[in-house]
Amino acid sequence: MDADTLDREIRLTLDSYVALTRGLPDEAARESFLWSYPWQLLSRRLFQLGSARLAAEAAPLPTVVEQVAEYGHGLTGDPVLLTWSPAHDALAVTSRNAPVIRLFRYGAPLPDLMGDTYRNAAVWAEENGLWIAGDGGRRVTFLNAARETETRLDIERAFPDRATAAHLIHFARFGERLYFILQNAQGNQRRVCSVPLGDVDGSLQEHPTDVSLWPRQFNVVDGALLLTDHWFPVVEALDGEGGGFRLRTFTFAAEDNRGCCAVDDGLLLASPRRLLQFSPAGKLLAAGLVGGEDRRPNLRNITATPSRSGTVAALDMREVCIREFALRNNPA
Amino acid sequence: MLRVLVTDPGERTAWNRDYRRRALPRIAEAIRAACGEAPMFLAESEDSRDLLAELGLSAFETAPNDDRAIPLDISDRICAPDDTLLVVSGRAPLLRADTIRRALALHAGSAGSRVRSCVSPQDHPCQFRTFFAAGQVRSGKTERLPDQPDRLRIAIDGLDDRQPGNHVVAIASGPQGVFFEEIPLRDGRAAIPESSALREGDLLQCVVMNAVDSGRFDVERCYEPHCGYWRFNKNTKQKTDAQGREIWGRQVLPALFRISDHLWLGRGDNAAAFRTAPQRHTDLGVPLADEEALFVEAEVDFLQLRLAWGEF
Repeated sequence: MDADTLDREIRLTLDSYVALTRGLPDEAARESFLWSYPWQLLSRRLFQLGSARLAAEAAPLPTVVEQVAEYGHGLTGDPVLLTWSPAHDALAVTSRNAPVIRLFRYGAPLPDLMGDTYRNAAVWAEENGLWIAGDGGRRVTFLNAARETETRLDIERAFPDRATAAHLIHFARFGERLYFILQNAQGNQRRVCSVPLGDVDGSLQEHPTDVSLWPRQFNVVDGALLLTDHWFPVVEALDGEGGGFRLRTFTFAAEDNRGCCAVDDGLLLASPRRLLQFSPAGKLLAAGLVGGEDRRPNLRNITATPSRSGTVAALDMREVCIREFALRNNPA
Repeated sequence: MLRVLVTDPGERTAWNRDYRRRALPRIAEAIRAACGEAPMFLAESEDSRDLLAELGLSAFETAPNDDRAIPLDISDRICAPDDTLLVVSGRAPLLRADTIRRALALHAGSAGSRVRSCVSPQDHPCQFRTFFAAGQVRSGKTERLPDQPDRLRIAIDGLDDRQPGNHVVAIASGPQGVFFEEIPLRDGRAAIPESSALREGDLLQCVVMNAVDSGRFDVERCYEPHCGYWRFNKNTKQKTDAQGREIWGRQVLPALFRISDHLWLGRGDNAAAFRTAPQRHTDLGVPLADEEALFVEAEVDFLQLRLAWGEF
């Protein structure tokens, strides 16, 4: 099949997914659809089409991925997320089990951030500091450029029901609220909630997703809070502060989504072996296979490093290290 | 009255003649030990007749036949309709006397039910799998067949039904959420079975599933028997037995036997049913131990037999 036919097939498959998801009458129906046989069929078909679509690209893709640095070998404690913190001019890496956040500046390790609140943490970077949501500590703290911390939210008080908020997957500060992706203890539901910034007892707001059943990550692109899904290449955007997330665009995928970051007002999505760059409208701009046939990485998360040199840092779980890539123009 | 027949293992090959010479007397001995009756050996060729005479075994001449089956045309010549007919295969040299006795006891205690030998399957069907690649995904609608208004089909044309196993997974949203059905293909259309829960006008999302025997696949499906002896959950990919217990490995595969041709026991007037499909609720099975399940069909089986006899 040529690229146009594949694009149509991808669109038809995604339309089917959207039609089914939107037809689900309630939360219980959404839970039972997730991981179901039809759900598996649609996701497999999408990945199959996505692989074919990448292979069918007629002209060389406009950019290729070039690895420019590799460091952090031997990261222990099962690293989970990483983000570039411009306030600290460093890359922050969190771990699933160890109560530590590791910092790297240009590949060199900086003193670690230690403390129970950093166990299994999610991080959200801003110009003047780093937001840290520690699942172990159940607190959101703000780390300023001078490395002073301030607790901004008691997650335990904000989300007292641990059954429905057993795991914090990702979070973001957007406007005057903190937005969270929470997963329940049974592992069959993820939901998006927000609380007012700095208001520990502030009212909890639910933000229903349109078609994303397994949201994975927030990003702010062009002034909008975007939400990406782990399995289906759908991008949703927050529809007003108190509203839900609405489907904004489709991308496509050959594998599951291992993280995304904003690049040049578009999105860069990571799969275990690839980086795909999309325009805000979902058009594929660039694609790069990371590693070679003999050296297959297993990317877990990515972050843009805008204050450095426009590179993208990625966690590679195959050798457990950090790789930095530059998106170069293809000379061909 | 009990009549005992042993089928002719046939084949005019050197190894088979050697096999018959050595195995048939042992089969006769096991039968005699089990029921005290001298068996009648079917002879489908002159060669067989001469050999049986040489061995001092009673022969009953019959026309060449598929040696696995009882020659149906002779049953009325060797037994009355209400006689009990025991047929032992001439290719089952390791059948034990106590197994034959168990079969006779089963038959006697069951008001004349058919008794068949059965063996453990080499490959348990609980492990059988088929593989599918998810093909086109289409929106569709159920509609009535023009020539059969009481039947429904899915309004998608051009489905490829050349490969056996190809089907459509029709996914519908209902008040209870999503449900799906697997619809077989016929004449390039997805013809909805009468038992389906799909109704006329239902809007569907359809995934075309293509059976594949090599290369990439998206879905593997386990074989599920109609009787519900075990089930496969397509969502969780978990197999459970009839009691709902998870089948997590070979150690807990449901007990199951394959009907074999070693032994058949029934009324004389029922001999014609020897090769018909077993009757699930009336037929009885006598399981053979692995050691006696050898069925000699080729020279390599004869070698295995000689190994069992301790010749090597």
